[in-house]
Amino acid sequence: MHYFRLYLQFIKIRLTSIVSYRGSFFAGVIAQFLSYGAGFFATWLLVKAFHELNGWTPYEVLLLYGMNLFSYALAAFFFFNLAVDIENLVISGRLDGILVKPVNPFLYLICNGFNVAYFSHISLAVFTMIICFRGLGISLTPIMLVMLALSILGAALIHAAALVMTSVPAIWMLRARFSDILYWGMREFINYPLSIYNRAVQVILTFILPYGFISFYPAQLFLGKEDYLFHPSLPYATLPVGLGLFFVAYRFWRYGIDRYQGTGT
Amino acid sequence: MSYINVENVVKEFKVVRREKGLINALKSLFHREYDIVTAVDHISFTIDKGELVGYIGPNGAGKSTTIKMLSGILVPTAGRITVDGVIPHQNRKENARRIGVVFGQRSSLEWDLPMEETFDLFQKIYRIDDRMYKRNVEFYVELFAMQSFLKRPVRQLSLGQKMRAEIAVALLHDPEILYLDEPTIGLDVVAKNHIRQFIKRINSEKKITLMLTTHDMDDIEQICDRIIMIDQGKLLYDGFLQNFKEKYGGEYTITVDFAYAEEGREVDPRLQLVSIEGQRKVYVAHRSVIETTEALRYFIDNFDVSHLNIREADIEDVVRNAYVKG
Repeated sequence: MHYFRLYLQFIKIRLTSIVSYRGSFFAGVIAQFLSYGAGFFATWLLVKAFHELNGWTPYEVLLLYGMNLFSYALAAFFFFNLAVDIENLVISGRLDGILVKPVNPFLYLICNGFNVAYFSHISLAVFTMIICFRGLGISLTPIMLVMLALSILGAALIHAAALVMTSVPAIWMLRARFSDILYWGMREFINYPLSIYNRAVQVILTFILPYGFISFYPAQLFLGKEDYLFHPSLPYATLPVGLGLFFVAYRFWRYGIDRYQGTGT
Repeated sequence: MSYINVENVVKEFKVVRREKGLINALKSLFHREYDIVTAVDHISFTIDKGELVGYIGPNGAGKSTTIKMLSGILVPTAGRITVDGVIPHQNRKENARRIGVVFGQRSSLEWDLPMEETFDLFQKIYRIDDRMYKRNVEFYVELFAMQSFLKRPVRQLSLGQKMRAEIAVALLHDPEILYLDEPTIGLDVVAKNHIRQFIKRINSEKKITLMLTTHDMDDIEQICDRIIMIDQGKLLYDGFLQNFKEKYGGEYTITVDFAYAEEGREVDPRLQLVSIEGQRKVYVAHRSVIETTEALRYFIDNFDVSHLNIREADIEDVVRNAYVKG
């Protein structure tokens, strides 16, 4: 309840500052639209050219893109500032300012990080997913809709876990660009069906960096795909995987803060 | 048991050793060597409720590190700290509720927000009940004369106004202790004086235990009852301001530009010559031996002087003195 009130207060503050920097806000929204719109079209054109990828039609592949973008936008909406701004917070000393307040720093940073810019991602992603289901003539039953919502929640938690985990080295002022590249680079893989890659990539994206659960596995469920990898139950596993990973990421982040308090670096 | 207890506290930092040159840079990719820097070195002191303590020392003495340990941000490497019976870093949130902290060199305010709304935000952060909130906002707006800039975004405030705002916000939840880290840094003389008056009033009217770090000798003389002086992490002095001044203060430097080379002429032995640079000579004296006015008159009356400059001892001089006198 405390953090909910705090969150509302920060939303009010962010909206007020949007009013005072209107130009920059709209420029940002347009830029985001253009860059993600370009990604959308690139995927679309590529799939159109191939007609199908390993039995996946263009709309089906585009759904992967939509689910990836939607869940990423949800995660980034809450966690982007926490993850990307942490280095600044440490350097400027604002992290110390948060640690002298009677608040959980993780929740405080989520509240503080309200970022309207992600509404453009979310609307683009929803638009993409609607196009796909329509184009494929699939109408989701209420149960499937619930499954879709839970899968997207799980996928968002996977994205969030990745954002949070890769930000921990920054708390210690180690510029770990390597982990960023790992994260942002791997994200591109999952815009295409996992079944087109070789075994090694499939193993990595399922068991090591389980991004496959963001779009490929759950999409199999909604599209009635049967090109199962490893085990036919994996399409249902997105939410548990997301919860598990996020829990680990949160513990790791807390460990990062504890070590910061121990070393002060 | 005192209110704030610091027993044999040590804080060490591990710093990556950087050596010059490409080869060394490549080496450090695989193997890093660390230097251990001791920022706080076996410091002990106690502070009672309601005291106003100046925690002083030159830059890099370990003042901020101590404040960070007291406020629960940093964990001591060794030793023990308790604040009102609580170990700050172990009960960080509980400790945070009863302290206010202001870091002079960084802001805790939202840049685009006017103070009116910043107060609202801090009410939510500290869960301050409405009655206390209203009473404190009124009290501090009045005390810090903030009425004129309440509605302006923080980014448009002057440095002095910003510092008043920082202190007001840190006091909103009625903390029992206020830590001020360099509260007058960068301010002009008038603004410094204001802040000093406010600090004294908070201590006397609100009975808040106050610890401030500074390296400004005027801050020390004008506000503090008690001084704790550290240098290179070690405690050099802990006692009343009066004794401190008698022991280490009172030294001043006079720089004299003589109109002619005054070769061979004897100067009053109470003025100790420390350097000569052409026609410019620098003397050091002590107030207990010769007052500044007397020294000035002495030069003007007895010599043809084109320029005179007097400088009071600053914290570096005082620390140097403390080493000399032990």
